[in-house]
Amino acid sequence: MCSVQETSLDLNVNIKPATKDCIKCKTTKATVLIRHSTYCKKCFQHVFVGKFRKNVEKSRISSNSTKLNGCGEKVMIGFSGGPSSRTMLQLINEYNETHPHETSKKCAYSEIIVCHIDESVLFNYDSTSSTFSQESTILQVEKIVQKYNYPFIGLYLQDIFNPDVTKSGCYSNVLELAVDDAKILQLEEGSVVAPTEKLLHLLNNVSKSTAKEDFIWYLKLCYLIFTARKNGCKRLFLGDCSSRLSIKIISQTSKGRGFSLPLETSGEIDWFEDVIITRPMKDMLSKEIGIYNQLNGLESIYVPSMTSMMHPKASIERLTEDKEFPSTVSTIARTGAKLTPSDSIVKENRCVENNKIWQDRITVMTIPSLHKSEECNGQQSSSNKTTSRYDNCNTINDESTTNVEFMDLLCYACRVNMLYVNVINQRIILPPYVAEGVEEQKNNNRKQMKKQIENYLLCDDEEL
Amino acid sequence: MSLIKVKLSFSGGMELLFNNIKQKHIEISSTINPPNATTMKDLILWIRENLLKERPELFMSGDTVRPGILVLINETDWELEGELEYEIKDGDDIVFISTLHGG
Repeated sequence: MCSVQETSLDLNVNIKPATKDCIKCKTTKATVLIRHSTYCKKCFQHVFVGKFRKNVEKSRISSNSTKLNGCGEKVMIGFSGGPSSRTMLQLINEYNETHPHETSKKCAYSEIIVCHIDESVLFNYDSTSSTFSQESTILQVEKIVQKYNYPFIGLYLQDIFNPDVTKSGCYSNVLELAVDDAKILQLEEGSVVAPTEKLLHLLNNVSKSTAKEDFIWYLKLCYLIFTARKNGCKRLFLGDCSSRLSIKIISQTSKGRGFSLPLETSGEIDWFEDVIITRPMKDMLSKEIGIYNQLNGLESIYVPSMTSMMHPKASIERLTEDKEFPSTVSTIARTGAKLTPSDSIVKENRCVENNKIWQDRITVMTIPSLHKSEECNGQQSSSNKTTSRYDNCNTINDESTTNVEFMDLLCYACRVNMLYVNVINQRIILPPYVAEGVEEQKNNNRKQMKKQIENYLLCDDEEL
Repeated sequence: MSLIKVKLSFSGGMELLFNNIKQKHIEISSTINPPNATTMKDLILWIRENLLKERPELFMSGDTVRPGILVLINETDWELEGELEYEIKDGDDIVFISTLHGG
């Protein structure tokens, strides 16, 4: 123990630069140390804003948006109210106001919408009295956004259960998970169960906090994307900073999401086809962001997360949050940035829960295929020891989907998460967009099957 | 022994550990450990003993603040000011920012 501390002390001595002047202008006394470089206040801000602009510029050029229409595209900012997205909002605003490369008064973006999703239902909702112990974060966020004159959309996470948060915009069925099967259910008219209760019921029955965090994140991401799509935004800005991304890279890898990692963490992805996700903050450390906000008086709101105030080892994500060595972060982030999605990705294979594309081949967990499950109706299937909770496949009728079928539509990591959902004696409801995805996939399968046997079918006409 | 005035600020979620207090003016001895002048090390311990309301393990690790907590002394990164060895002066403005939830 003692020797470990000694070596880390030595390291500290070595990496501290001897000069106390700004390495950029070399005239002013340095006030900020970023990794191994010292900056004065002015140069720090210059470098910081420069990094941001470089990323934004790159994404605009690659999308050719300026050529298509002179006024740029309509974009949405995912704004949590936390420090990183707070900086992002400010910098996008500055960028859009004074666009450096265009002489005429053109804006980089035709319209900017700010969207915030309130998660307070997860932390301070008292289900006995149906009241919140704290005011919604929407009000605090709205106060900040008002300074910028952008349209603001404040959403509640529980409203992911609304029928309009789907591709078709009016799909009201939900997916119910039970011990023996997963059913697509019609939502009863005047249902007494409020969305808040549904969401809490779902999340409270997830036994591992790592899986729960995952659930919350994908519900949020899907909600943001659906909202962007609904409002005709071509681009969604997310404020993941470099520190956050390196945490993600490590935690996602350990959760079994390595395959989709490049698409989760890269600065620009077209994963969701019509909505491009851009992460302009990907090169900033959380330290830089903290200092920038402090120097510029940018106030952020405190957004509690599930593991706030909890033990540092409460979940995988929380565990990877601790960071002792400043260079590790950028090394991980840059290594992660070199990853590119495999060419063999089949676009049709989408996980219904998070809408991501995934690959069947790379899963280590054996899931009985659809055909197999039909063969062994009512029997215990042999190969699904890991999914023992789901191994009673009941007879398939038109409305119900067996869990095996449902699991087939999930990516590996989501399957693992599903193992932590406690379905015994519980009826867990998944939001409509999942149910819609399941139905869509089933129809696709049916279409494919029909195509295969097309030649052998007798047409109605011929029959006559 | 004389008293020195110091302005402390907590942000980025740090305030939760301090009963939601974002700013506090304090007066401490110029030599908490006589005969040496009061350093950041002394101040951090003083804060833990006198101001911290809960979860000391989220504030400190070893004898310094937890990694991920940013400290600015008069708008200057404390890493350039000698960190724990920095001697507190009268009128110093010290900011603690938690960066652990930068998302």
